[in-house]
Amino acid sequence: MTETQTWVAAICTLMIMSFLWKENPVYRLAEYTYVGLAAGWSFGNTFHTFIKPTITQDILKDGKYIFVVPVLIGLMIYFMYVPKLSWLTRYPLGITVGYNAGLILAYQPTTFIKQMQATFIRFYGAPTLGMNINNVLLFLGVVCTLMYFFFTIKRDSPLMRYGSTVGRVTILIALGAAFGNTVLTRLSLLMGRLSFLLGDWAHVLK
Amino acid sequence: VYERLQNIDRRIIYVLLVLVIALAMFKPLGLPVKVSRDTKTVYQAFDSLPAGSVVWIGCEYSPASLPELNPMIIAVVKQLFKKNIKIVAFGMWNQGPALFQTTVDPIAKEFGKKYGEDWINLGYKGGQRASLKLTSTSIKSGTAGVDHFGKPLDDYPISKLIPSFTKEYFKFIVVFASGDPGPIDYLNFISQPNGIPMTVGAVSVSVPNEMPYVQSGQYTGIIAGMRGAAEYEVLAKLPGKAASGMDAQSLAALLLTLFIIAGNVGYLMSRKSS
Repeated sequence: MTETQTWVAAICTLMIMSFLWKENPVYRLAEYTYVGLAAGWSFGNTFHTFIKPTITQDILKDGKYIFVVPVLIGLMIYFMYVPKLSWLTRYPLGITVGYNAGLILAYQPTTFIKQMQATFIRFYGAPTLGMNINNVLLFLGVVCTLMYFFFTIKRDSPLMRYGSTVGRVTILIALGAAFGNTVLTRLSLLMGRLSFLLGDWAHVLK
Repeated sequence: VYERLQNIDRRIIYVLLVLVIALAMFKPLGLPVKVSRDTKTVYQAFDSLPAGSVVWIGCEYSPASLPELNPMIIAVVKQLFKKNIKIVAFGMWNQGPALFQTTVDPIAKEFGKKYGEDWINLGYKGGQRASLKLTSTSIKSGTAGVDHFGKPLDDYPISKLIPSFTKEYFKFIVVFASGDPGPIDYLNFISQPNGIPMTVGAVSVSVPNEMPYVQSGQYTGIIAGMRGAAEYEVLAKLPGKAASGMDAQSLAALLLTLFIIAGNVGYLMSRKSS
C-alpha cells in the first residue's frame, strides 16, 4: 500500500471503531461509504470477469447463442419494477431455486451418509484409551442429540428423559464451543486492525 | 458490588482489551505453540505431493478474515512453491481472489514463480455453486474463459495442464474459508464425486461446523483459525504473524474469560442474596 492508501485505510478504521464509543455520524459516513464501494466494486468485478467475457467470447465469438436464453430469463427479474408484469419475476426465481435445490439433493446425500458412517465406531480396541473414550462420547452425543429432537415420542420413559437431557447438554456444549470460537475470530479481527494501526500506519510496532 | 459485576461498562472492556493486545504485541511472551494432529495432517499431505502437481486453492473469504487466514495462506503457498507445486486459485466470494492476488503476488516474485506458468488466479466467478460445478466439466466454461484480470485463459501455458477440475489434473484442494459458499460445496460437488482429497483453512468461527468432516475423514485435517496458522508456521519453519499473534490472542481470551467469570459470579451471588 502507498502512504496515501495507508492513511485512508487508517482513518476509515478509526471512523468505524468510533462506534465502540457510541453511534455517531462519522461511523455512519464510513459505513455507507463502505457499503456503496463494496456494491460498486462487486458489480464491476462480476461484469469484467464473467458477464463481459460470456457475451464477447461465448456468445459473439464462439457462437453459443443458446446462452442468450438464460440471459433473457435472468433479465426478467427486472419486471419487479413493473407492477403489472411483476409476476414474470417468478420464472427466474423459480429456476434458480429449483436448480439449487436439485443440485443439493443430488450431491448432499453422499456427504450425509459418510457423516452417518463416521458414527459407526468401535467402543474399544482403539490405539489409546483417550480415543476409546472419545468414540463413546461421540456416539452418545449423536444419539442423545437426536433423542432431544424426537418430538413425536412422549418423554415419559427414563431412557427418553435422560437421553434427551444428555442431548440438551451436548447441544449446549456445542453452542459454547461455537461461541468461544466466534470470540476468537473477533479478537483476531481486532488484532489485525491494531497491528495495522500501530505498525503500518503509526510505525511504532515493528 | 454484585450488580456492578454484571453491568461493567462495555467501554471499559474495550479499553482493557485494546491495552492487553497492544501490550502483548509490544512485549511478546513467547508462549509455546503445540502442533495439533489436524494441522500436522495438512502439512504432511502437502509435503507428500510430487513436484509438478497442481493444487486448487478456493479463496472463499472477505477482508474481515485476513488476520486469521492470511498467515496460513502465506505459509501454505510458500510450502507449495518451495516444492515446485503449481497453484490454481478460484473464488465464489467476490473479494477472495483479489485479496489472494495481493497476498500471493509478492511471494511468487520471491520464489521466482511466473504467473500463468507456475500459478494462476481464475478470479471471482458469479453463480457460486453452479460455476464451481461447471468447472468439473470444463474450467473454461466455469470461468467464462478468463482469469482474475479478465485475460483469456488460452494465453497462459498453465491452462493446457488443467482442462477440467478432476482427479486427473488436480492432486489436492485447499479451501480458505470464512463462511458460505465454502468448503462444503467443494466437498459435495468436486472432492467426493471426483475423488480429489481436500482440506480446509478456516476462521475460528467456522471451525465447529467443519470439524465433523475432519473427524469423518472427508477433510484431510484442518488449519483451524489463528492457532492453526501459528502451528502451520511452526511446522513449515516460517515464523510469521500468526505465531507472534498467539500471545495477544491468548491474553485477550484470558481477559474475556475473567470478565465472563466475574459476570457469572455477580449473577449467582446477587440471586443468592435476593
